[in-house]
This record gives sequence, C-alpha cells and structure tokens, in this order.
Amino acid sequence: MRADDGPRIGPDLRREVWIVVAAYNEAGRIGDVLDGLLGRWPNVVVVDDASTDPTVEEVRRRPAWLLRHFVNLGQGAALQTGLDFALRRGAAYLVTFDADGQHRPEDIDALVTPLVSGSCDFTLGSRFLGEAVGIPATRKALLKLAIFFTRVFSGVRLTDTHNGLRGMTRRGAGALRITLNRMEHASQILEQIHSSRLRYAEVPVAVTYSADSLAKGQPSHAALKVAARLFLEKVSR
Amino acid sequence: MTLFQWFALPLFIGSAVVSLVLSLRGTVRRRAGILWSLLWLLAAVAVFRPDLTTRLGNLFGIGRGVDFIIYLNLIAGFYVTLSLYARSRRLETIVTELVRQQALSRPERGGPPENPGPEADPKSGRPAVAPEAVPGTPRP
Repeated sequence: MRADDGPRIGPDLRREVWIVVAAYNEAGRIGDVLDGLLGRWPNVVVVDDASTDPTVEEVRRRPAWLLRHFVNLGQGAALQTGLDFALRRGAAYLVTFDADGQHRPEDIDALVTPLVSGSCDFTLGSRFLGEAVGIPATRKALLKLAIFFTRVFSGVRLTDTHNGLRGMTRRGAGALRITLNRMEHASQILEQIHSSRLRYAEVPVAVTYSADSLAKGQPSHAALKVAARLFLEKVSR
Repeated sequence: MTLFQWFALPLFIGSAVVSLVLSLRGTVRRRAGILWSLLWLLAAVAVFRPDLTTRLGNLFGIGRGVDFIIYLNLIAGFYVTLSLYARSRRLETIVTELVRQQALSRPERGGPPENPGPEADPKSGRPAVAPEAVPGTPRP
C-alpha cells in the first residue's frame, strides 16, 4: 500500500489529529520541534517526564498542551499519559513524535493518510524504507538486530521496530496499554499491535541523527538492559 | 567440635531464643516468631550433625549434605528474586498510575505572551480546562 493515496488532509481533519510528544530534558530541541509541528497541527500534547532543565518553559511559550509527571517514569509511561489525554480530548487519530528533533513534521501526513482512509489502524514509521540520515554504523547494526529479534520472538515482520514516529486510530490507541515504562515500550507496543489483530502498515520516514541527539539518546549498551527487562517481564508473571 | 561449630552454634541458638522471646512478647507475630526460631534450631542441628543433612541429601541422590543445602538455597534465592521483582513491578504500576492521573488532572495550555488563548493560564499551573470538558479541540 502506498501511503500517499487517500483523502487530502484539510484543516478540519487536522483538528482531529493529536500529536503526542514525550519529553525529558529537551529544552535545547523541543522548541524547534514544537514550532515545526504547531504550524500544521493544532493539537500537540507534550508530556514532560519531570525534566530538570527548562523544557517546561520552552513548551509554555508555545500553544501546545503540557502535562507534567512529577517524578521521572520513562518514555513509555509518558507516551501512555499523552495518549490517554488525547483520547479524553476526543482525538480521532494519534501520532507519537520524538522530542529530540530526529523526525520530520512533514512525514506525519503520510502516517495519517492511511488511517483516515481506513486501510489500517496503525502506521509505523520506517527509517529503513525511508532515510536514516547520518546513522552511525553501530546504531544501524543494533537496530537490524532488534528487527531480527522482533521477527523471531513476536512474529512481527517489520523493517524498523524502534521508530518513535507512529500513527494510530482511536481504536488502535484504545488497544494499546503501555505498562513498560522505560525503553522496552517499543517492543511492547509492537506486541500489543500484533495481539490486537488490527491492521498496520509501515510508512517510509526520515530519521536524522545529529551529534546532539546521539549524545542525548540511548547509548547502544542500553539495549542489553532492555533485553534483560523484557526477559524478566516474561518469566515473572 | 570444629571452630565453625564453636561460633555458629551459639549464634544460631541465640537467634532462636531471641525469635522466641520476641514472639512471646508480641513484638513480632507469634506464628512468625515460632517459625523463625524453629528455622534457627534446624540450622543449629545441621551444623552440629552434618551427617544428618547428608542422609537427607542422599535421599534426593545428592552426595553431600552441604551441597543439598546449597541447592535448596539457590532455588529459594531464585524464587525470592523473582517475587521481589514482581512486587517492585506492582509498586511501579501503582506509582505510574498515581503520577499519570495527577498529570492528567492538571493540563496546561501554553501560548505566546501576546495571545495566551482564552483558557490558558500558563503561569499559575492550575488546571486550565478540565480534560473531559470538551471532546473537540479549542483553537489556540
């Protein structure tokens, strides 16, 4: 399925879309990210995960919604809070978008279009169908490994399993319940999409790596911790 | 008696007595105190008569009594670790839900200073609009 067919996204439709941004210590980047989003999408909700830098002040200067966790819980928890809020506000379509500027706001149209045309309930951004600008070789290898493990353990065949840019319908968001608060949520979301039996599609998107986002982002060895927690989660219940 | 017995036996028997006294005084629950003093006495017996644990081990096909006890300990340790992990996950779920509900009950709407929007009150941090109030979307 091509992502760019289907209905054109007019202003009325844009109001039905909610962009969920989980932010933790992103004061240096969140401003640009929000400026890029708010120009086209009126409903942006930022969940501040108890940042210790002026992230909150940056958000307050812009016409975005702001929710604040009073203790740091993790990106997975912040996303779930944002999804809950958007659903309460009556969102018809929801998009998750990273706060560090690695995604392009222009890619959201391609994520929303298939949802609006009803061809699926989840759209998943793929940097390997699209572009991964400036991706370091080790990061690429790690992501490919994650794709392989996802294929083996959850049976989901994707070209990019750890992309923060996702779209979903209201029904799709209702089928998700992120309980893994930290970085394991990416795997959990895929598992829940799989077990919901709702349809999903991958959409090519661009992910840009900057020295800044790499320094802020997860170090590669964090993947081991994630794998260990996913294993513990399986054996402890 | 070996050196180890000289120092383990008084320790274990003392612990058994303390547990018993505490449970009789009502400082700890009676059943728990009695259970603990029994456990300490069992440990004392195992130290005083290692051959008994060896006979027990042999019943399970394990040569030495010490090995038998180490294996039991490993199994118990694994079980305790997992149940502690499960408990901390339950606590984490509760904390998450508390923090989430608090965040959801106080949404803020930001905006440029010249046009803060009808319902925005970014400075006070008080709830700008009840989250369930409007199912649609107010314009900025």
